[in-house]
Amino acid sequence: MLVGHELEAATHSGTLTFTGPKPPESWALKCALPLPDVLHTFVCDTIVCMAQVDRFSVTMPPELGEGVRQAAARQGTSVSTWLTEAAADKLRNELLGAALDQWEAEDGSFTQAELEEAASRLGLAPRSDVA
Amino acid sequence: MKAILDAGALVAVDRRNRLFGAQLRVLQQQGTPIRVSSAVVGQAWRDGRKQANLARVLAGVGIEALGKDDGKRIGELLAQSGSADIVDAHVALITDHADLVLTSDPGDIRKLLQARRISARVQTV
Repeated sequence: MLVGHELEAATHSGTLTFTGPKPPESWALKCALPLPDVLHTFVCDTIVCMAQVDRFSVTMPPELGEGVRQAAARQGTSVSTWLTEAAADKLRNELLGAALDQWEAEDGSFTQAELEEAASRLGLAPRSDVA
Repeated sequence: MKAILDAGALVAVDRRNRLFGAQLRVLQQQGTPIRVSSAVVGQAWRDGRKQANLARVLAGVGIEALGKDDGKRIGELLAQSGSADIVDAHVALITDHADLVLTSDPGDIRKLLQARRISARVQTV
């Protein structure tokens, strides 16, 4: 059973689902947004508290799904939170790539020597298979 | 593994340091998530009209805000490490095992990470 501050935190982050007896009406006041903006849906003994969320139905190979569950468990977080962070990282990586493209367009491309020195400093190998 | 930037790294971006740009390119190509403390952004950000390169790069970086409990965690870490820099302490707090910290102040960051018993690589910018 989740308690007040967890409900509030989960409301900030998006969707909260918990099981148990129907909570008292006062719990609704712990949601971070004004009540007209918050949807509470009771499904049997489950309440879903949603604010500014986008729901997806995602399919993936079973072994990948299990890997995601295990990774989320290792981090002590939910699968939704883990996938959200992974998606955000992927999108930010695209934005960083575009920023570096612009940097190179303005100042000249990073040379192979610069990339190799950079990789050496980072202790990483430069990838030649990506732009 | 993720890479953490400190103020020296952001200044390098702002000054269009090519070697640091190349390091970001290598990290980006590797798909390494990059993070920065919002306090560090405050150290480097002055005028977005004059910092276009930094603004674009920051759009591709995860900015870690100070949470309501972080003030106490930072204070405790400073006490444990004998340090005094609040921003460096937040950098250390958002660093996990096996991460890479890109900093112009490796000594202080190492000291803070040691106090947290975090095993991370610290690379001088």
